Amino acid sequence: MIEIGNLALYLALATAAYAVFACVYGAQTRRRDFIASGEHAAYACWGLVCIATVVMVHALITHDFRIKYVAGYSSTTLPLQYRITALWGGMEGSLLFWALILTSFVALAQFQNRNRNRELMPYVTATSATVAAFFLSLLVFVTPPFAVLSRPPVEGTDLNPLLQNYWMQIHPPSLYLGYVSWTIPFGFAIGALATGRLDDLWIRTSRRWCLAAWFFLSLGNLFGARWAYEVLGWGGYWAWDPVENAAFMPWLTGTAYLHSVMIQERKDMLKVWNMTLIILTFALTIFGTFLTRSGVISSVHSFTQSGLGPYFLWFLALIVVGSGILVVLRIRELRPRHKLDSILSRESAFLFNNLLLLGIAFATFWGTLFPVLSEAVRGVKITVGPPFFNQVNAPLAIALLLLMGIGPIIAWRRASARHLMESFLWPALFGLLVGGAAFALGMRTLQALLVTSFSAFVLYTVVAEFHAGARARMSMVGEGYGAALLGLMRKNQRRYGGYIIHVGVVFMFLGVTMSSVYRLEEIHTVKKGEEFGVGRYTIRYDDAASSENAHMARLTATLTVFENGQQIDVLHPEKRFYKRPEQPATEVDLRSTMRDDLYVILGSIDDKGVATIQAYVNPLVWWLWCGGVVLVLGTAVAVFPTRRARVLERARETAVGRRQQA
Amino acid sequence: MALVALLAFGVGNASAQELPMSRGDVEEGLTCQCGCGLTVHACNHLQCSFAIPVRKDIAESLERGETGQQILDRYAQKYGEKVLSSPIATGFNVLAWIAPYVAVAVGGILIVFAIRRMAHRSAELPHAAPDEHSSDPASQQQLARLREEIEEFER
Repeated sequence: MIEIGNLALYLALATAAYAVFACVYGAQTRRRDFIASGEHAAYACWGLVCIATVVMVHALITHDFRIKYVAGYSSTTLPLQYRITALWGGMEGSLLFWALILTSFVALAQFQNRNRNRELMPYVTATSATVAAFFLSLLVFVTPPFAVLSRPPVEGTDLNPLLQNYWMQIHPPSLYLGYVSWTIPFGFAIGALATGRLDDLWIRTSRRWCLAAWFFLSLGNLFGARWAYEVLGWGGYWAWDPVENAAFMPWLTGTAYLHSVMIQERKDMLKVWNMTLIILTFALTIFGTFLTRSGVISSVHSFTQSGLGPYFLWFLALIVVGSGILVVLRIRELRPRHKLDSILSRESAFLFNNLLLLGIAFATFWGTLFPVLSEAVRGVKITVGPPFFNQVNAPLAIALLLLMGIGPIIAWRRASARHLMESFLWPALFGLLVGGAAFALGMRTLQALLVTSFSAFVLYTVVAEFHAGARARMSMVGEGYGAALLGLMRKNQRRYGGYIIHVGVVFMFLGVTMSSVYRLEEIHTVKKGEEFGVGRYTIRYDDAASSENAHMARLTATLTVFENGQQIDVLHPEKRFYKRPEQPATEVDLRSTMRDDLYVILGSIDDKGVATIQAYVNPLVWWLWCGGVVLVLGTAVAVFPTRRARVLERARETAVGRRQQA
Repeated sequence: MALVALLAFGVGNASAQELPMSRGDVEEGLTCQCGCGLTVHACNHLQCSFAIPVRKDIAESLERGETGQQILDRYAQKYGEKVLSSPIATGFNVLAWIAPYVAVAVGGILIVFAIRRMAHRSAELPHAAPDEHSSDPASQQQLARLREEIEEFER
């Protein structure tokens, strides 16, 4: 089996390299047979990577400790689900998993476009296959996943205990799906630059890929936050760790692209800017992989240090320089056909939205790399941690929240004074009213007041947009209110899906701000039967129990929670001691409500049963996760392929085909 | 409005910095040296050899009347700048704090400048001579604008 895995990877690399050559040669010489051959090679590459992955998963399940990777990341006592997810628990396995997702996406993109976009597709395949060939080269020459041990151990080292968690089963795959999906829009952008087809064809064709990439990256970040919240046990969900930042930066630039691309579709402007954003987003996904795998910056998330860093840097340089040259060569054709009419317009609001998103991305990039810069310039090691990122990014993020309310209702092209008054008077008054009410109720922190007020403003604008659209539809089509709302979303999925996503983002803003600003914390050492208070809760330590199996030993505390003298819950935080590798881990317990989370951590229990317990009250953190669910719903509305959308798409393709024939 | 919000927030932050630092603030100002990558406040390692004694020292020092900044300075002297969770805003480190805002400000000025320039040109266009290559009575510009108006109406 090991030989099959190795052979499959060698052949996959060869087919990926051939796909690049055949597609580029075929497109340049207009030889359809070469293009078809290159595309078949890309399908074959996918099949071969599937075989290699199956061999690795089989080895993990059957404890084939001859393979170094299997011995290093699994054991005979590791539960089955974690043996499977050990595929992405280590460096080599995660690169193989990356290659699997990438080659699958290349095959899917080719299949989707087998009868359309034939001019662009050879370059899309060639670009994506180049990326696949890079990752396969690493797997074949630098970090081979099927490397064998001369003396296989009887038992494996096991998977890192922090990775033995439900959220870690879904966090890396969603993050990888997000990272890798950006390869396809990048491929379309390169295809457009190579062929000179610089109209909005590549944008329309890759739109769903962009939304999917953005969606999975959003989920990946949220799942990671939830994992940190439940597993790391420090009461928070985002630590501005370099690896977290690496996933956050392409999300920001991707979000900027999804907004600015609307201006290109509507006004045929910002072509250079959109190209730059797509290239930047894809480059940031590779930069993120570099950060995680190079060891250049210390992070709790990163893989063990390896020699991969220089390879990623060279590849990153190739992407930036190669794409940059193509953009420069096409700069004349990328010139806009229209001009902006006024600074008071939706186009301007989108541009400022882009500025703030890129500002946050730059601040995050700058803060992440500043320790390296400081050491190089001054020879002094410094740390750039959460206080820096919170202080620098918070004002930019709050301004962005305000723009989320302005963008959707300000007029395209030019907003008159009358229009501004009509559109913004009530939302602004509502925002001020809610902010004033929060102040009257005792909210005194400026950051919290601004976020509350701006959130109310944004929510008002979104509700007003839905209401006005439904009312218009009721009078025009004669539908009931509910049917009109549904009809509205069906008619313009992207617009109303986007509004729903905005609502989700507002919920996230509220959750993040309130749980950061108004968090309460208590740490107490208590005997059995003793109680202590945290916020409106009283916690009584009732009992401690220990248990053990072949995999780990557990120490569990039983805590009874009271509110106003009434028992409302019983919590069981745990301390776990994994046996291979010997490592303690925290299993927090929490009571989550819409108002706040009571979050308890068991610090220790001594021989006499005295426990040290840390308790947090995190206000509104439930809304952060709820915002994630709303974001999923909004994205589903935006991308769900309805019959109407398919008919419109077909009509558009026919029109484009006719224009091309003419 | 966004700039007003930024300024307001900046003022708020500045005034917040003048308030005495709480125990939590000082703990947040120091990075744990146990390798967890978190601040002294957030580190949750069992029996952490760094965070636990430092937390105790911070509490005792504040009770003795030492200010938060004095405690941070003392730790920076003992362990070097790397123990602080954010760069001190002096010398080369000032660059860390101002570069993001300078980048946003420059970007904002460029956007405003570019839009004003385009808007100025756009306002002049209706009076420009019609395209001599166009056989239509309406210029390409006017047709494009008409298309946009229709699109707007249909929205």
